[in-house]
Amino acid sequence: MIEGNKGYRFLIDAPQVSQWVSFLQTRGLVHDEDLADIRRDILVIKTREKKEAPLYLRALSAVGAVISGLLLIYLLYLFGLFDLGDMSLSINGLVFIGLSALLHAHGVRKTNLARDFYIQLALTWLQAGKVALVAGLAQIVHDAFGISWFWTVSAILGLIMLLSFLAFPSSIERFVSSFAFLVSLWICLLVDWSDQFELTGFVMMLIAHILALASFLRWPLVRQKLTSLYDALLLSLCLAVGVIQGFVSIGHEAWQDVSEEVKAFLGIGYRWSVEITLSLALIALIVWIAGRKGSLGREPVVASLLGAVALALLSNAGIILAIGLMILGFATHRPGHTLLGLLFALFFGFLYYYNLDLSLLQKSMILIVSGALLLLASGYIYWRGWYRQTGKARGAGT
Amino acid sequence: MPHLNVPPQDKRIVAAMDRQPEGPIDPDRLKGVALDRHLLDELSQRGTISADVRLESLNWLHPAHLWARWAMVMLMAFGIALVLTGIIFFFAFNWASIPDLAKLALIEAGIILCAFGAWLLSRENLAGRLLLMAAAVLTGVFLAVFGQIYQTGADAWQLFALWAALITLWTLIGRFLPLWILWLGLINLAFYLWWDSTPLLRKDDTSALYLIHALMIGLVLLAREWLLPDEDGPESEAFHWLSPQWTRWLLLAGMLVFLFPPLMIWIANWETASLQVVLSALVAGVITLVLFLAFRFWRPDIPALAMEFLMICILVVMGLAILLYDNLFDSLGTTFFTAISAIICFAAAAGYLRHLLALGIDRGEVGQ
Repeated sequence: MIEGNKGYRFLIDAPQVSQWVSFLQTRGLVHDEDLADIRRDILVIKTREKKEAPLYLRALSAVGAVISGLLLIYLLYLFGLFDLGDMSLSINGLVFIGLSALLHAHGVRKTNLARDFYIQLALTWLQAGKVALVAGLAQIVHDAFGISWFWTVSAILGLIMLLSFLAFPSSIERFVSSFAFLVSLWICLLVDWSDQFELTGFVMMLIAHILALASFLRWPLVRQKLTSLYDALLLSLCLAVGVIQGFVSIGHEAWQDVSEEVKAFLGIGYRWSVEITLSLALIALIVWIAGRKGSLGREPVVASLLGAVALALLSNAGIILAIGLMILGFATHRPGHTLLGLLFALFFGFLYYYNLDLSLLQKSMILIVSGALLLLASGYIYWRGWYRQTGKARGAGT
Repeated sequence: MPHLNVPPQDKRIVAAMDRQPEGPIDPDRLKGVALDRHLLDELSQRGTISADVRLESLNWLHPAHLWARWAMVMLMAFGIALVLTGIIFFFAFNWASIPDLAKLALIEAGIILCAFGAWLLSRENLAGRLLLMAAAVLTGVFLAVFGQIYQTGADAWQLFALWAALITLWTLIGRFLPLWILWLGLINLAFYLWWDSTPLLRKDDTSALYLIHALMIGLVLLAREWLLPDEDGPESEAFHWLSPQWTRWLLLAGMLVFLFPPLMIWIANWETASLQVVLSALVAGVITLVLFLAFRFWRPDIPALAMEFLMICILVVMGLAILLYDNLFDSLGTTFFTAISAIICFAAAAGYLRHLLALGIDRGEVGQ
């Protein structure tokens, strides 16, 4: 166990580089002269990562930018420069974004308060510019091509996302742009898609999300460069599955009020396609985590794969996603993801049992039996001693 | 070891580091840097570590036993939760047919079993702490059922106050943060309900109510800071469980949530505000200033200052908007000057915090 990391905190803490270096030295895995290279490269990587200000500082600036951006939009409206019915709004939007980029480029070369003033001003113009661009372009595209409002807005949001990655080095800005674009795509698929393709589109989008996330896990450099997109994809996946599964679960009571198309979408087709997709993703995640030479045939890995299959057969999409999130968060040392998974598990676990069409007595029996099964599984791990630290494990070198 | 895949941007950083006069890299500069799979993969891709070292490190980083322990704890937690829920459902199904005395006896038995289990297990043990938490929650259930059966006619605040009083000792000895959060929440809820049910206090005293809430949370925050005076001292080890930074941030956020309304009420009604509203705002302002000084000089903490600045900036912007609109300008002028003030306020706050970051004022803070 990591030094100073006893008890339940091992669930979230990542070990320190210094502990790892001690481990490498003790095991004789590297020569002393290589250690200097390792330390230097870690410092280089961390220096590069730390170029952005801390999250709380960016959040403070972002709140300020939203407030001043809204005030600026109102001011422009009072000046007649923000007329939603006017197509020239998109030109204004581009001008505002261009002005924002100029201010930002000028600001980062400044020092002290001048730098912050310029950046805050740039963020303010950026917010106003984005709103103007979306409103103006949507008006033009809709009028010119007769394309629906949903797809038009989504395409423009995609453009803004692209611009944010190309031109604006702010992870919050990139995250918000990416998330807004992905959410707009879900809305298009669910609201503005012909009925027979709705489920297909939903599942294809789900698979695209999962493949994108898998590629981020596979290639760490891409993940590092596009962390904002990785987080946005994960949250977008949660939102889509959460909303649909929540509707399936909560809508159970008001099933008669739902149209036939929605019933078909949320019925057996949804259950099989979405749950199978998520279950396969969960299995792939376990294989990725255990994917070292000779690991796949080991008993704990086989047991966890069997657990994933059982989960797929017995539970619902929300619970499968929740377990996947918790495992992913633990594997990548992102406690936020684990916490999100835990909240999902509680919410969808509650809905799952609440919606069982059984009496309270029968429900209580099922709850006790399923709880006892989980406790038995926990006891099995204890009995087999898998939790015990071996000589090779972490801490051997500390 | 050859570097196979070093981005050009990193070459510039390496060159800058090589130019530094300090000489070889001091291992202390890596203090506090966490290792994850991401970092290992990148080191491997750069050619800094070999594939074998990466594999050994991955086994070390996420050894099978840690995964098994994680799975064991999760299965145990969910299993206990499901079994307990099942038991509650069972009683809910048969609630009407259970004799009153049996209801109370069952809950009491649960409290005693949980408390006994917590006593048997070590205080450092998570299961023991969870059992203590369960006993504390069951105490509230017992009081609610007791009130329901005997129709005591007690006010709601008395239930929560008694509940908080009964679990105070467990909270003190439990050293478990969720239990402290429950206790503090109960105290505040009881106080709010008492205030709300007291006719003399209900009318124009909301500013004072918020202020007292802020002071109550502030006392707990002060106690936390007092008990963690020095990271090297003996007290630090005794109260190590209090050291996570989020405990400070949670308490501070609670304080700020309650400090905001008295100030905002005064700003919104500054011409017609009663003496009580003005005094509450004045005290809230003084507390805000004290908090700033505390987290700037006594316990330097930049994220805490950022939270405080967020509240101050919003207050300044809103106050200015009200002042300008009421006295000086129409919509156009007010919007213009408010937008400018918002940009200046938030830029100044961010600039000041960036300056503190550059000074490194909160390095080596307890709990980091």
